[in-house]
Amino acid sequence: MNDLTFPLIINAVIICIWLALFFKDKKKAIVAVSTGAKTIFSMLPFLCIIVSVIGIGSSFVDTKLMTSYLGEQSGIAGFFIVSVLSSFLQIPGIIAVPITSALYTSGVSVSIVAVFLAASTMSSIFTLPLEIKYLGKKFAYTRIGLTYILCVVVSMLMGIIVKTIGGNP
Amino acid sequence: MKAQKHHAFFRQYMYFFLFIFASMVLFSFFPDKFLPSVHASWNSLSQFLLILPAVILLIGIFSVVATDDMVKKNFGKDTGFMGNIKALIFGSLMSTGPFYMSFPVARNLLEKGASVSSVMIFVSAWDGIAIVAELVEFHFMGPVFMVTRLVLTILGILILGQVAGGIFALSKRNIRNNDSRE
Repeated sequence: MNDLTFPLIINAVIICIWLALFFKDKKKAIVAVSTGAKTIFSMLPFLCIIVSVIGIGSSFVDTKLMTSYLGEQSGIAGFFIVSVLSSFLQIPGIIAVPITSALYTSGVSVSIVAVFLAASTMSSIFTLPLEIKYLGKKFAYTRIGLTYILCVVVSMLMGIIVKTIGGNP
Repeated sequence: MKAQKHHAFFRQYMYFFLFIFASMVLFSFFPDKFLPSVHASWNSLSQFLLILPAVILLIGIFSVVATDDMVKKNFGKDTGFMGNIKALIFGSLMSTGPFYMSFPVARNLLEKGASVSSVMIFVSAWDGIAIVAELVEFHFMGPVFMVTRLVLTILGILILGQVAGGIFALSKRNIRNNDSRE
């Protein structure tokens, strides 16, 4: 029951906001729904693949093995390998979060989970050429470099803070 | 143009069906893994479906409310710390599509005279603290994880902006002189 409280509240709040927009400007409200739906539908195949990979992965990969490589006692090497690999990826935040959650529940440590989420959403080496095209070499390299440092520092702090507070997923 | 769009659409679904086919082949070798896999997939999918209406509406609402015009009006020559805060908020709210959509907007901001630190913050906020993704994160990872990460990331992005502004000021070269096109 507790699981349903947040979705119910958030859906209700956002439907109310949308209704307010609808009474103010009907055209805009309808454009809003169709834009949102289009965005999600264009992500849908990718989302389905990711969800299936999570399912298959969690039934094939041995949780104990994963915990020993990427768990709380695994040391710093796993952290840096994950941080470098995920900064190559560019996954939209909405899709990266379910993967993060699956990793977290299968015993991967907080800091590694956090660095995966931060680096895969914020720094992307694959789209660097595009960023250079629009914003220039200097801007792109500075941003990627600083973002990587930011991801590493924030995730290490996350590991310490969340462990002390003791948050459950 | 339209035909091309449909082509891309079908190609995405082609990947999906290829993936389904490949996993069927996999499961024909490991039939006992099929049910646990479906169960785990359904678990994460159903969690997502619960907040899907909110996600769709939120993406839509911000796409009509936080438009490019609004950003242009609010940046202009705006620099300093308030400019940074605005950049952070707009980046987070406008981030509704894929993240590379932020580059054209960011370029436009630079051309309008916004400071390097503000634009850097705008792009980072777009990728890192998109409001829709934060909503999904709250649902999947719980309040402690989400709030801690949000606070740390906001602080980090603001510092990142200052450092980047410092780096650009040190080299005393305008970003457009340094543009890599050709």
